[in-house]
Amino acid sequence: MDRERHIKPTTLILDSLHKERERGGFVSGEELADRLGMSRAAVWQRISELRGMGYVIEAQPHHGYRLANVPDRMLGYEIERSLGTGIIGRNVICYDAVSSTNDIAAEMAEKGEPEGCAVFAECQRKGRGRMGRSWIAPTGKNILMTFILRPRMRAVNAPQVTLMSAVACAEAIRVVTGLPALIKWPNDILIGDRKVCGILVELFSELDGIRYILVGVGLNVNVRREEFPGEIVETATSLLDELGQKVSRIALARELLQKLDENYSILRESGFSSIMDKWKEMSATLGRSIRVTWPDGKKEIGSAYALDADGALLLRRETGFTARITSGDIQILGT
Amino acid sequence: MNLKEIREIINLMNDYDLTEFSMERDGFKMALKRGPEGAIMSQSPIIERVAELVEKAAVEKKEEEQPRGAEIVSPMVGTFYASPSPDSSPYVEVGQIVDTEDVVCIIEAMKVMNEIKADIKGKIIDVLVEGGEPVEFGQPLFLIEPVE
Repeated sequence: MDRERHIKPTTLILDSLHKERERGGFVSGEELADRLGMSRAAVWQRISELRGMGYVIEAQPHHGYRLANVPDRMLGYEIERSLGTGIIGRNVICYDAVSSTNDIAAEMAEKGEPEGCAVFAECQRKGRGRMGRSWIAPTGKNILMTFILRPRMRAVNAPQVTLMSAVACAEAIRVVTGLPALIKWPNDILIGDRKVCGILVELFSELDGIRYILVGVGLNVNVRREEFPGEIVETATSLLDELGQKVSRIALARELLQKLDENYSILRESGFSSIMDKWKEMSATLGRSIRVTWPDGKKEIGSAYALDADGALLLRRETGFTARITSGDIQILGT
Repeated sequence: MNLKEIREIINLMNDYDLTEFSMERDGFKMALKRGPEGAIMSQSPIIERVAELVEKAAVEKKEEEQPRGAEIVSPMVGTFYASPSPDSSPYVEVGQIVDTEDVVCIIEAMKVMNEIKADIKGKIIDVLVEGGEPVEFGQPLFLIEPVE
């Protein structure tokens, strides 16, 4: 299950191939053998192994080997390679199939895994959203990832992590695809008026504080709209559908970890208001007319006019009075 | 003065477009100021102190009352959900025996889902909150009779 075990004997070869690729050149089998202290036959064997994993490695007589393409698989090595993040992604683990990445991360967190660990999977057997809703994604096309945080804050401030994660996801999508990703309160990522990314935040607390927080990210990357289940086919989208071309999941995963790391450090060092400023800039909700479904099931229409200091959404009711939304679902109706 | 009252003042300030509000009563001082977008900007230390006092009061109240059983209390402000999804049966019901690791409910705030565990082994003797109801920090959610 753990890809890293397969990749480790070949890591040194990959390092060399990547380095030469950045220079645009080939590296000879002899040089590889010299560098790594193994025979040319052993190098050949490793190259074959890598090809078996889906790496496209060209071999030319008198030139040597050249890395032409990295497989479209969530490989821990490719995600972690010269990532340069401080906390998020300092341990990256990739699985083929899991029940859900939040389940795996919870097991690890319970065993004392430090914060920043990120768990990726190609497929979830029981992917889930909030309130018992399922999260469905075809194998090998999307990003399914959970990371562990252990912030030193009171449980009441945990929603800061929700908004921080949304900011990071929207930024990563913007950097990699150029698409104008926006945030629907508090943490859905939209392109146009369709949802492209969902975030599930699970808090494990004690009365005196947070033990850990799991942030699960489900990002529709290379799935086609036709593949969505019926109930979301009109409301969901993918980067492939919006962009008209496939997006490198590895590049996106790396950017996502980088943006999460960046914003987590902003949250810790500059405070929540800096995160809220970014959130407001990318908001799809503020200034819009919305329909709120309160936790008791009652529905109400009003205008989302501001974000409160704790991240709650402020609603101007039809009566002219205001209300704080901290729970329940909202639907954007128009300007 | 509790959090609820402060919230009401903030709502009134919004409703009447007041930019500043201050009051003094029995050695208690509070000042609120509105920022450019109409949101309340000042998270003044006083408000946090009041929040702490309210929390402390809730904990102290709990100690005074000495209920029949033990209490499972909310670790955060949020919304109480008795079941994992609107259509499923509740995590626990009155009369049910729970173990320390059993999930008894979810408290949610701004999409942060917090599964609350019983933390003590015992028999649920009362569910004190309705599904979808807002709860405060330290508010008792269940009464539980510990069993060995």
